[in-house]
Amino acid sequence: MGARLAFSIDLDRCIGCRACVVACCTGNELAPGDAFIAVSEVIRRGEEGLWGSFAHHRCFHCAEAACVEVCPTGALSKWQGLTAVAAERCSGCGYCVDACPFHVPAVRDGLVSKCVGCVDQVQQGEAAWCERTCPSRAIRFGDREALLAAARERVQQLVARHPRAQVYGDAQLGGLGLLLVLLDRPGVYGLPERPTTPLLLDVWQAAVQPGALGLSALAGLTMGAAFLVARRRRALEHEAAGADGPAPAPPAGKRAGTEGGDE
Amino acid sequence: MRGKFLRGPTAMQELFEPMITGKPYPITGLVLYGTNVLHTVPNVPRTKEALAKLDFVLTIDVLPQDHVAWSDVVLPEATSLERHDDLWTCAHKTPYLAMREPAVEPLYETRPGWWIAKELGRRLGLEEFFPWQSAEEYLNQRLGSIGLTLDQVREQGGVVVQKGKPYLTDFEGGPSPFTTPSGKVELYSEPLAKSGHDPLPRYQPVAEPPAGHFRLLYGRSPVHTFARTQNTPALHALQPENEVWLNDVAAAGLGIRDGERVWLENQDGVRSGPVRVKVTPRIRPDCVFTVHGFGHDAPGMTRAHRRGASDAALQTRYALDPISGGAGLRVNFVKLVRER
Repeated sequence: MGARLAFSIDLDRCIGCRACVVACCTGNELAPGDAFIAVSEVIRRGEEGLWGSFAHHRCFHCAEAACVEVCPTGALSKWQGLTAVAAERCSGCGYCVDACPFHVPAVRDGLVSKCVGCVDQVQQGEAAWCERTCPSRAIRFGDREALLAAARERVQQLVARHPRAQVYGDAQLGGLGLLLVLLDRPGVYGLPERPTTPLLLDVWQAAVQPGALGLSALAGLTMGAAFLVARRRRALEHEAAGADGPAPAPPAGKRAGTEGGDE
Repeated sequence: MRGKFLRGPTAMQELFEPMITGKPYPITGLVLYGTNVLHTVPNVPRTKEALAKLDFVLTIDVLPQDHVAWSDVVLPEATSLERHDDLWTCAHKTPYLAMREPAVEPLYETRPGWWIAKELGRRLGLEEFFPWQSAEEYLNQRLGSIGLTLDQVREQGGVVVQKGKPYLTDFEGGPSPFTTPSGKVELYSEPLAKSGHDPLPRYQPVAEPPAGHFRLLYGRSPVHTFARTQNTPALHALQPENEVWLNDVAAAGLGIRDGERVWLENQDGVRSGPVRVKVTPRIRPDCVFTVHGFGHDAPGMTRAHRRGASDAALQTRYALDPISGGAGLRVNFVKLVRER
């Protein structure tokens, strides 16, 4: 295993053009309506007046990746810090959908849909599609240590203008493989300060993986998980029916501050 | 038409009046190439009247846009990925030129623009103006004038950048690039004063919106380019229609909620929409804003058809700058009418 790779996004540089979304969809040849990246506006009216930024909703490539832990088929795995996807191994069970603390993966047409880290391209020495196309060079890809150092330096420059500017992803869940230079607290962007893996994962790791329980318990748990997945899918279908854009949006409760919403 | 304004050739919107009135001279034919006049020219009713009155309208376009239905003859053009185009030259601070080459052969009965131009010339007896057999030959000849070849431009990735010399010191000893009497940038202009214009532009108040109306502002989103890309699948997926931005305090006063759908109706009774309201503190209470380029009427624009509102349709009036002939379009006022 070589150096740990990562993405970084400087939200002071992002202009919200969504060229990354288009490059990702076309480069990865996604089916119409599918997308690995969603970019949304964050607008607030606080004591400093109107304030705006962009939120990027996409895979964080966690070091301690709950999705990889729960994936029963090995469709999700870690490769040099990236959470790689082998769609041909996916059973469409949706465990990753429920396990992700950031609500990133979706199941589309029976297969997992999330940022694949452009692993195939990276292995051929090419850059990720989003990084390649970003016109303001807000998105970077490469060695995580170097990106983290650059992000911290960037925050030092930004605090004069944005006192709450900070790096997100340096330590969360073992360190994220998507580092964000935020202009304000994570909550403003709809991000959890301390993301945690859901209870289901604890049960899975504590009870099932050690093989301590019998098959009946496994069956019971699977049924429980299936119920949760089915319930979640219904909820997602509900959302999809009401939403206009096909891009995967964070669930309403997790969405970053909406227009005009005061602190 | 040169002469109506102090500087520069006549702006495009001023060409439509003569098509109707025949004054100062008649215009009886029109070739529209890559220009959707129903989205780029204000006063759409006048444009339609002119298109109906012209003896002959030829349209060359890649999409079955709104104005195509007003044409006598349509020549479908190959898309940008299927054709050579003329060199793109840019003389700004960092001058560059760029070339375009086809990635694939044209589909269906479409032809590249250069082929259409050359063939029209040949069939109209103007062959001498097209003394080249292929686009490559033409491009090579043009590049040759600055000592380049097509292959050299290809090797450089299709773009040749030259370091700019944007500062006046670079012209020391030679004539100034500014054609002003002083040879400098002039804030106070004697030539303007002599021709009876304001030598130092002063703010002139503009009409305020009537009661119940908002000034219609327009602009762009970073996703779409003019009125050209609303039907493009990847971009349509990101932004399928525009919204009308409405100040949050004004919205509360009207009892209009975020996400409601309304028609926009201008001071002349022209309607466009329906369009979703975006309630936001980011706009003045006396204005509304919408992203330009939506509200396509043509059924052939399968995705963009009747999505959102057209700012161009609502711009039945415009102000004219007597110096440049440029049109000021933000002089239209709209009210918001609930969809049902």
